Amino acid sequence: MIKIAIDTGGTFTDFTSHGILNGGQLQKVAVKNPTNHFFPAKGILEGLHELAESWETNLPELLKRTEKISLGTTLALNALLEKKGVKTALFTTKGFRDALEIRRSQLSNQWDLSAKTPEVLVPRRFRFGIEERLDYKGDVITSLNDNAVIEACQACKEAGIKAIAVSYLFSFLNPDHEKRTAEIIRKECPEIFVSLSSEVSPRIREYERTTTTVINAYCTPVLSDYLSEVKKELKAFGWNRPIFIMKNSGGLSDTADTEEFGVTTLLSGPAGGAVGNETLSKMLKRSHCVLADMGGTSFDLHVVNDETNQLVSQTDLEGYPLTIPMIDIHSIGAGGGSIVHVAEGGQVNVGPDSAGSVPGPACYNLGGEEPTVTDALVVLGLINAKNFLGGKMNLSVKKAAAALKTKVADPLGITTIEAARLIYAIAAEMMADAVRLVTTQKGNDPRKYSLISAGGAFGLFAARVMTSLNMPEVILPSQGPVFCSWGMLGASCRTDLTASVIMEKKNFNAQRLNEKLQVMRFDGENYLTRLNVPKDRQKMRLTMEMRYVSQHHEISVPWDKDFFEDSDKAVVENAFYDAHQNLYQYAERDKDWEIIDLHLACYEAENENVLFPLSQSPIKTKSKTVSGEIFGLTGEIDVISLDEGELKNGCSGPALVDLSYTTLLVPQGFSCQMEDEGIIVMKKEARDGSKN
Amino acid sequence: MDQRTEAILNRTVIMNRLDSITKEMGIALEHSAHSPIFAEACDFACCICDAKGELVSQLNGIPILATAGSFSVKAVLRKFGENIFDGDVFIINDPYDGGNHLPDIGIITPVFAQDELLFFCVSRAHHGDIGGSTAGSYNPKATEIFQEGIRIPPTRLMKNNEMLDDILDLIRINTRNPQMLTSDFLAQIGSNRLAAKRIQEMLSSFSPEIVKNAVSVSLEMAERLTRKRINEVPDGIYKASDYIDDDGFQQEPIKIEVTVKISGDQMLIDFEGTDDQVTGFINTSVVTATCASGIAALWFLGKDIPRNGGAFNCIEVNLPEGSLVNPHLPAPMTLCTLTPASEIIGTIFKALDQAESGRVSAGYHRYLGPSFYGVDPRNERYYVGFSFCSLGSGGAMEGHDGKPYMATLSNFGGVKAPNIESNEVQYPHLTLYHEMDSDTAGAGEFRGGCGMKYAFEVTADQADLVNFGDGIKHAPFGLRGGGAGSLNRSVFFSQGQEIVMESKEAPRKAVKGDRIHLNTSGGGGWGDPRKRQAQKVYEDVLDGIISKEIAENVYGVIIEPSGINLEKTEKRRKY
Repeated sequence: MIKIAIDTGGTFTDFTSHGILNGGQLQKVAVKNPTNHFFPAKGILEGLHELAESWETNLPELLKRTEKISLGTTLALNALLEKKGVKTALFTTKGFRDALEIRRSQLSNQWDLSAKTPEVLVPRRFRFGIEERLDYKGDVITSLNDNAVIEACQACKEAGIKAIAVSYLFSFLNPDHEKRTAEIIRKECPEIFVSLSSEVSPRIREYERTTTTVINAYCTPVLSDYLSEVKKELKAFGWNRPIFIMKNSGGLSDTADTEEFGVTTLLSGPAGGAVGNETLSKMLKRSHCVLADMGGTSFDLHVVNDETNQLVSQTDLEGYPLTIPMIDIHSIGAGGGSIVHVAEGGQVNVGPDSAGSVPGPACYNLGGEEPTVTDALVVLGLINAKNFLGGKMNLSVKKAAAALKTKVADPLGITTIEAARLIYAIAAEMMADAVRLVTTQKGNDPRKYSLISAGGAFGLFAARVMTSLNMPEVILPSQGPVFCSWGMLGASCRTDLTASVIMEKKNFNAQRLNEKLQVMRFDGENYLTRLNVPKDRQKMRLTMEMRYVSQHHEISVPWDKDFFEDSDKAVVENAFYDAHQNLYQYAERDKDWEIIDLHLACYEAENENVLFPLSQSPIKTKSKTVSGEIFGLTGEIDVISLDEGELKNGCSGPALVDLSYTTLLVPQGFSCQMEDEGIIVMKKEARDGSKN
Repeated sequence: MDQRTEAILNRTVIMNRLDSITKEMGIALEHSAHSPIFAEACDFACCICDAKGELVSQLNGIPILATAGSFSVKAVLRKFGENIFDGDVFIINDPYDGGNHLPDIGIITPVFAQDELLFFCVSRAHHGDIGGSTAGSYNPKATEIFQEGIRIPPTRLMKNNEMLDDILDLIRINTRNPQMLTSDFLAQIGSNRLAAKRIQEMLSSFSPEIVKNAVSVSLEMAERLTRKRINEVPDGIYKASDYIDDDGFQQEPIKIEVTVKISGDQMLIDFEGTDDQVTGFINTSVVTATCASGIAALWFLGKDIPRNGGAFNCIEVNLPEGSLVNPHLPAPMTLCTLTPASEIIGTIFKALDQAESGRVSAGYHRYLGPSFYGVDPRNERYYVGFSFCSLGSGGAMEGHDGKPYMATLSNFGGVKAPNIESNEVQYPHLTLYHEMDSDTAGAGEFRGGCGMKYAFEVTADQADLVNFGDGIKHAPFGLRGGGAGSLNRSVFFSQGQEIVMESKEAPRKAVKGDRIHLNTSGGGGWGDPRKRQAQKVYEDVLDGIISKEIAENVYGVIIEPSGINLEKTEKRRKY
């Protein structure tokens, strides 16, 4: 049988598949298509037809042989970024309807008086205060006034509202009022989509919870329309099974789930990459990996520790706080299109502004005047101007050089080529700083990590970043260009459950913890069973969110067993102290702690995935000359074109290895070698010339 | 790579790295601290200073603390000079010697390369209680600094990486919540240690010489840019003044007078004409007055100027001795980081706006609200809280409406207001409402942020409250024809009585069921309200920000049930 994964990106939609068709050999097939922004569902179908062709069959036949389709989508994200969600209203506790707009006063830049805050998604006129109130324990102080809800519903109908978010104070402790409100809304205006904060993000802090719920209400109807269309189109070709959707947590779910909680798909694509990172870490037996992806506008990092993906419970997206479990992706504005700017004071800044794809870097010759990282790479000869995007676009070295000269070289009083080298090095060190932050900030040593180069131009920077951090190796998986989609092929169903316990050391009670655990386990099992995951493939992983009694932020402490005993108190305590010391450089070993939440990840056992050599060999290109003296490359360097056989024997730097999907810079003192299934590993050579 | 390029590269990489280190310090401190004031509200700042105490990098935190770290390090250097060693940690809070106000305690860790002192890692954080006559440290009736809390001159707290327990005990014993204070010191020390570790890691790839050079050139560059920007401002003498409501003793307003003299690339901010020091706690430390002047000037000069010592040192300040902004001992001054710091910044804005329009905002709200303390009956723990939820709103700028619910200018963008839910879990309070308040925003082509109304009820059997702040008599100013914002107001409802509170009161006893109602100012407006887009005025009416009457009478926009009456509006706006 065959598995298919589809990752809809901003520019391209990637289709990957593997399996056995008609008793033949195991095949791996991928297709890359431009994303159809106007008719997204149609774009999926067109791509699937092409995929079927690549399998040398037709779509109905391919689908007959297919066991699973996984889909990554940017629909919800685009709705949020482009402000194209549906007209949304917000019901809050009376007297508190402005939490969404007034925010928490903090700004990312204190030195900019005119700093903009993110657009308020629900204008005040559509925010309704509803009479009801719970106290800090979740006990009712004022009962829900049904008539207030009915009146607000009336106003929503008149205003043509399409979605209502409901977020009452302390509803995370007692969802009764929110549930009752939903009942009334569904009765009064059944056509309006309802989203409850107690279901979307049942956690303390109303600003963050309300924002997350409003974004869910705002985006989900857009996603639902799209998913129904995709289902309808696929049905026409005989597909009656569920379609699995990639969630922010790196887990799959069915459409019934995502049609209620579109907010869980905001990072659908990157989550596929994160799962791919985890899979790769297991397959290649590298317990610690940093996945680096250099795109047009940003440089994204994802960390796997002990072969396991890391989730964060809160993240910030374009200024909006989201309090739902998400894959931990760290992003800085240092992509290929990042604009290089020499400030009036002489500081050189790379990013965060980006030239985007239109007009794009100066070398695109589409009217862009600002020099970008890509322009520096073109001037240095590191990007082949004649073979960009497989020759689909001719780059102008002249334009790149001119932009660099006027905007960077002249203001700094250096030559154009020096300016290009400078930009290259600054960008590389910014990436290294970002890698440093994602590892050290969590108390980990970057020297333990393999650096995975997933895409774009990162192969040109990888050696320098690796050196800057003393990392042992760079790995280039050959499925790089379709990495997120490939990751989804191996993804499993997953749900993340949280139980609030708030248990101080002195009240440590194993039985109470086990009771909470049991409820979560029950819910998790139901969830997985609904998605047809057999019992023997259902797995769970438990973490405790802990802090000192007087603290305000928790840290995650893993718990390897799936139960507690009273004698575990000391074990829990030491695990917490050690984690705290490691993170914050201090621990008070006599001070009281508490367990705030238990977190249970319920997931389907790892799905089989296979490495995916896309292009069986490096592309043969004409030798080109690099204007030398970039990191580890001195003098004039010929680009080395190797065939697969040669690459399997290894290659020593200095060299530029042109692959169909990326270029790897191998400096002097480094060597690279193709291992099984097209995985390329680059290491430093030991002094005596042998490989390290 | 040629030498020049390599120098640029090293400088960029090193300064980026230092910025990333201060950022990491801030995150660690926010996440590991204990008292709500800095773990929830982020009332702290982290920075790195060079061996002379000049500010090198400072990312996280509150504007009014920007240069305070540098002053503190310089005070340590003055006292300890050559006797600073690896493994030392210093502590300081005295506003008469390198501090800004007593509650902000600086923890300073020197960083060495071999034997050479290279940097200081500094965190300054506002602690919940530092002793003195009133819990929470804000005592509007204090007449001497000795009543405001423990004064800590530059003092060694750790030696050879070991805590000097005698010193710690001496400080602890003078405070009401010694446990929390200790934990928060440890969080500060830990965050500094993290930074020191990262700097050492950096020194493994760059020599101390290269690092020192990168830092000094960066400071010079910031100075050059600042000078250039000052040079671009028309030469002249720009005067402005504003008033503090009172000091809690005298009823007459207290004058802040500012003369900004710009001549070539020199800028002097002169406080000659400002009133003499006063009895109450609104006197201002030299550190706070200097910092307020520096940040106000740099806001005016450009957001792209790096906020380091090179830039701040360009702003010359004259603080007349014995005046409000440079008082003699033992004048009390705990309120100074809010009032008058924010009013000083506002007054400088008014003066600088005359030199060039469009660069600064109209007036921001002034802080007003109670601190509260007692024993929480729900867990028998002692608590001290501040009214971070009583923020008002920001002033408008050319092209921008004022932002709602902003900290005062001195804390702009740095403070993180707590959620109502967190507040109710931490303190025995029930919040009655917390919403925008209509017809409070200063009118203008760009209007001020909308003021807030906020009320809570005491749910413990008893609690103590101290109401303090300003702005019940003086409202946020408008600029260039914009209107003023609304006034602050606070009312205490106690056992059937309704008491309109002063802005600087002695502590009050509250009992269960007592309520505090606060109205906080809307920000000042910018430009003629009759030029505001009629559609925006209409939307403000729909959103309940302004009433139809204000739309008509102040903005000249006539709104009828069907929408804007364009004809009548045009006519109305002509007169």
